[in-house]
Amino acid sequence: MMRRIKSWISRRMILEKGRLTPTGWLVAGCCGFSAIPGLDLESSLAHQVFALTVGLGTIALLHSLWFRARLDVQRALPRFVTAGEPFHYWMEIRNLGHRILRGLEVIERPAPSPKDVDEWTGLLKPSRRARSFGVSKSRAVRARAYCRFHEVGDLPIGGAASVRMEMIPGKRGVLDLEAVAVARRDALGLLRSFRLFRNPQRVVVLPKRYWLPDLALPGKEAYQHGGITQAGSIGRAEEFVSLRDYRRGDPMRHIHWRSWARRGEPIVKEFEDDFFVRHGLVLDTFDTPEHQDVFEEAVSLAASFACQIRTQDSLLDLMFVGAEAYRFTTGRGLAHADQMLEILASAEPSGDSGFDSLATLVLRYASTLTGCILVFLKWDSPRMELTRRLIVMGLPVRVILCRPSGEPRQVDPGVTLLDPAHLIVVRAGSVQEDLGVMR
Amino acid sequence: MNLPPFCLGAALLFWGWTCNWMQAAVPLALLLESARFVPTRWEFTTQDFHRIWTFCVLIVLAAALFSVSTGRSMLDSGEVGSGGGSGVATAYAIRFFQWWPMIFAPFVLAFFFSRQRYLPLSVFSWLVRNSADLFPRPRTFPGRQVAPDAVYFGLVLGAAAMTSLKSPFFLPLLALLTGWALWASRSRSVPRWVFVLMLLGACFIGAAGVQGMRQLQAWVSRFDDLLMQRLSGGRFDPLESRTQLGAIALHKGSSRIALRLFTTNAMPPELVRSASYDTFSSPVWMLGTRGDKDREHIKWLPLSAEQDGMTWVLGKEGDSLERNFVRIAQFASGSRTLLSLPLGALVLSNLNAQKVSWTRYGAVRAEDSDQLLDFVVSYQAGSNVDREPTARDLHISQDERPHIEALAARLQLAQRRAVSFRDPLRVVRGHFLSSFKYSLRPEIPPGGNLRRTPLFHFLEISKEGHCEYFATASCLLLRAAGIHARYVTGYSVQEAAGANQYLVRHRHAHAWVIYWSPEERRWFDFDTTPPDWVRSENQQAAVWEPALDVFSRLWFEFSLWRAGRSELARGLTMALMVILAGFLVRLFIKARRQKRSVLPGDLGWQRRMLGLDSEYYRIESSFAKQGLGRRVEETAFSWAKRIQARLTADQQKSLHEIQELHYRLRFDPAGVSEVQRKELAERVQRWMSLPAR
Repeated sequence: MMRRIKSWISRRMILEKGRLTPTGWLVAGCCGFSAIPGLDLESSLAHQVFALTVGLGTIALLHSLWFRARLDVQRALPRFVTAGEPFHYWMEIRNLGHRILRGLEVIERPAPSPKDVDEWTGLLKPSRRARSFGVSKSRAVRARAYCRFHEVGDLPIGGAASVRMEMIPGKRGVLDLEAVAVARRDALGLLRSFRLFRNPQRVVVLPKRYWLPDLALPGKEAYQHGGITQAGSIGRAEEFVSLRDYRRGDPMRHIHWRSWARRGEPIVKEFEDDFFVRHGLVLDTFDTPEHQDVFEEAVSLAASFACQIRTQDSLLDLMFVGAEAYRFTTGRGLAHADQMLEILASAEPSGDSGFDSLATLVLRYASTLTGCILVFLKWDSPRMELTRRLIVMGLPVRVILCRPSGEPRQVDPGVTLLDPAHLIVVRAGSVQEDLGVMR
Repeated sequence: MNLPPFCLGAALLFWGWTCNWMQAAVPLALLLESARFVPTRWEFTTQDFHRIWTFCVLIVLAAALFSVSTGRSMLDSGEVGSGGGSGVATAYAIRFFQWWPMIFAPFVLAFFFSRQRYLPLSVFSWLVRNSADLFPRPRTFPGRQVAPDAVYFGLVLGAAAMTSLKSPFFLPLLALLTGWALWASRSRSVPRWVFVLMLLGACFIGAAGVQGMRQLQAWVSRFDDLLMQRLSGGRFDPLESRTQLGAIALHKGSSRIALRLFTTNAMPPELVRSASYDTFSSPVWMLGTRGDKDREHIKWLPLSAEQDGMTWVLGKEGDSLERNFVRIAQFASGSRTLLSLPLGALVLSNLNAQKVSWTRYGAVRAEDSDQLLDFVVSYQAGSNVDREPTARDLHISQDERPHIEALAARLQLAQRRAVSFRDPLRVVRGHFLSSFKYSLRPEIPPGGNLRRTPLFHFLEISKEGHCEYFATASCLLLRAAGIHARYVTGYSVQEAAGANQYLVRHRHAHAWVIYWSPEERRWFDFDTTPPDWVRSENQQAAVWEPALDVFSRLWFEFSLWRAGRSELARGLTMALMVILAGFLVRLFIKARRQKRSVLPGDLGWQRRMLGLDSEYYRIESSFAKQGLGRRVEETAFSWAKRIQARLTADQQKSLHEIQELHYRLRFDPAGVSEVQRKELAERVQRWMSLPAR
């Protein structure tokens, strides 16, 4: 019996979010507040307010249970959007029924992902996290994107209306828009009735970016062993200086076929060594789950650097460890910042241990770098050691340390070779303000 | 949801009508609705609204504290309900809520005369303002908005319902106003007539609900009466007193304080009476006999209050007798409280009760009184207001008659009565004092011996018992001697608690006798219980009694303060006001300090980034004081050209260099180095010290 009731309630979306309109909330509030003094029928007339509000609620509930609509809903979504930035798109709603529909509202219902609840849990205080009732799935989903009710114009039989929708994605990643909920208010305007129309589509939400001050990252051009053959027309890799005899191990594509044909023995092209600027952008993904917001800020900072560093005549290597160790290069026509943002959109935290794998990755390619930006979530001995080793290798280093909000900005550099001015501490929630002092 | 025009004004008039406060409702409604015609608007920020809201909430808290502590509504001149008994608390609450539209009027006025149509929920809720940890939510999501006019409308209707006005128009008018407010936010999906039909349906359900609730309350009330009758045992009943004669032991009550007596001299009344009885049918003392016609006219007679409404006169004073005064404080027990008064009480003053009734047998009760009854009794020795003796005051039941008469004959009471009226009293008292002892666990007659009543066993065999034995035996013996006597229950006053202050505990409950003196035509107390009963009772005291007394004292003082009768009340109320004022001042100072600290902190980095902290502006501002400031449309160089007549050659040259540095600081994407920045500051400093033309 209980299951049937639950199923009935679920089918009619009685406990759906947005079920009560603002007016409905007011009437419900009046009902609740008049209930207690209403117990004493002699002293006040609060019981009459209570009775009237109960009457209004009953009528509204009865009317809201009866709502039918046959609609076709289509969206025209952008491919990329940015976390925290509102985006707009058009939604077309077509009436397939046999009645004119008026006064409808529409709202998006993003699909929950299991990850949402975990991330949401990470954002909660440890004391609240331990409680089973402290983690609400619906709240977790709501944190993913914000969408308000949009009014739909009159829908004649067979006619359509276009609605300009606005959404604000809450966080980076993939936003699954699973269904569209079409709502109708009851006659008194207290309750909404819903009809869900499934139309799964997805949008990639790029990380939020900050405006960065000019980052002076000194460093000489470094020799890129063997050149960057992929560098096509921009680089100096095409500039071969001479021909010489083939030596074991030379790549096949360096063979100068015409000379071989002419002389009858293999001759290879000798290239001028490649020297150009190549920056490393290292994103730390190792921290405890409760610092989810700090990690998000670190990703945003990495995304900001990826966009701001001019890569027409330099390269930028993004290095981080997710499911595996990643090194992704942009610049000099190799790839665009958009692609790096797309990668950052799906960067995930890797737990508290395993920083060594990132350190190994960075040190492996350190010799090819001319400067390095390290975006750290902590300032402990493994991170200090990595910084020290990079400095010892002669690399100019800038460390951006993301800390939880409310923590002090003063941090002991620890590494004697690191200029304190090159250790920039930013706090979650006030990153832009803290970056203001960056030199 | 914003309200249709004039809807809120109408609601305020409705509130004024139900609460009888039209003088407040009309101006407020006019003020609020005038906002539709007055084009002037104030620029209130969210912070301002939050501050006004906090102020209103503080007023609500202050009003609540004032109302609870003094029993009066803060904005009202009179006492709440002039004594409401069990309904006093409800009356406080009702009067308190009635004033909410006035208390929140400053906030709504500010809203109506601002440009905002909605306000963020954070203005109202501390929880929302500090909910980052509780409900993490991306900062870029818009916060929840509230329409304060709609909420205020609900509040006004709620306050309008806080009245006991019995009008058939209340519900229809309430429904009309609600419908008017809902009209604006009704659904467009249905025609208007459907809205009206559904509203009527809701009204019908509401009206039916009201009827249903009334019937339910009537049913609950009947059940409640039955329950209360079951639970109310143990108190003095003015019509009957079931004694513990023949019971194994007497439980006289706890150490809880029943009364506090304050006297002007060192002599309090020894006994305070709650009720007296004239007929004994073992083991019950009662007034008349059950089913007796006479018993019906022992009715509660209402007393009429004097002009001050708090003085109640029981009888006229005898001129020749000395008047005594005692202040008695006791807590009300339900809506009807039986008072304990010294015999001979004539005037009760400062007694705040809706109604005071009494019987001619000495029982006085206060109805619908304050929680704490604190009144002064004027009394004289002996009572001339009790009903004069009747034949029942000489009656001895058949069961007790043989042995009472036998004992009276042994003590020769009849003969002594013939000689002197007072002689039998002395003999009876002497008889009990000489050969009887006090016991809470008297020996009881063995079962099966029907001839031996408990009283006989007490008088002839065990010679030990508690006050009920002594009082009953004395009363019957006096009657056997031809003296009119009645059995009385009440308390013995025996425990001093400081100067002129006495405590009466429940375990001090006592029984004794009053007799009629034909010479003085008055009733007098006559207590034959041996004095050692006091010691016996005190042995019953619990170890933790002193600690309980401290709490009891504190509660008593708090109750006095609430009733506005404590000397501390005025001082504490003033202190409360000072604390609130201090809190308000602190709130504003804090807000201002925050404002000061926020600006540079928030914008400082931007100012630095944009070079707006350049020292060059000192030069401009020094000229601005002379009316030569740079105009908005002027560049720095053109301004320098304009004022060059006022500058020396050195100044002109130096200013040009400073301006170039300043421009680099402001507009060069590469910015300036630390050294150049320092140089700019030094140059400006030097320039300011150059001699002017």
